[in-house]
Amino acid sequence: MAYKYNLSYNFTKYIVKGKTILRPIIPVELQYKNNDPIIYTMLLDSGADLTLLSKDVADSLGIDTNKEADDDVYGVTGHTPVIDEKVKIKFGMGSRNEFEKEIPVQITKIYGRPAIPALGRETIFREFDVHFRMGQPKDKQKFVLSKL
Amino acid sequence: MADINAEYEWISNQNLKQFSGKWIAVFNKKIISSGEYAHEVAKKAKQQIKEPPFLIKVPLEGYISV
Repeated sequence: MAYKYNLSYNFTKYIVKGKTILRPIIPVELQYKNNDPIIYTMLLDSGADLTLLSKDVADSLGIDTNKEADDDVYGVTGHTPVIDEKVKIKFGMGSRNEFEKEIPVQITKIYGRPAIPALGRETIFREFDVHFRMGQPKDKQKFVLSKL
Repeated sequence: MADINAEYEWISNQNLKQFSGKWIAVFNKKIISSGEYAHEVAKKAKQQIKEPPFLIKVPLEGYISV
């Protein structure tokens, strides 16, 4: 299949209890309305339906996080109320192929949850085929977003 | 705008143990602010630079490696 372009990233390595864990993390620019944009690292979370931001990350973008929750999200540790909003996301900065789009996000009413902003399937997988090349030799372990 | 991938690669090679579990803002290969909450770190960073700040959550283990 011919893709429009590919964005290739190294996995971020974490040492957890002496073992190396590879996480697909990418720098993205987030902007709410015409407020100042901020660049965050976000986890490409294939287990999340939608993109999820913590209260403090949303506050930093100028989103009103004190308004009433619109919904509840359910995860492995229970459920939490969330606010529905839309933000502009940009990534691939510095390459020939920047991706930019307004996306729906869900915002928890809790500081630090999720610990790192999570990019969910609906945001990414409808736009890109995602290849996790974890089983390759170390120098070829990458994840690649191929634009549909 | 600074080269974000170069910034991320640089920070990935730093010992960040003192920032374990905290947010840091990085600009031109320097950590310009840090703290417990993203909005506070972003605010402090924006007082120092005109460009969009780059915020990273340091894992509790204290190391990031790309």
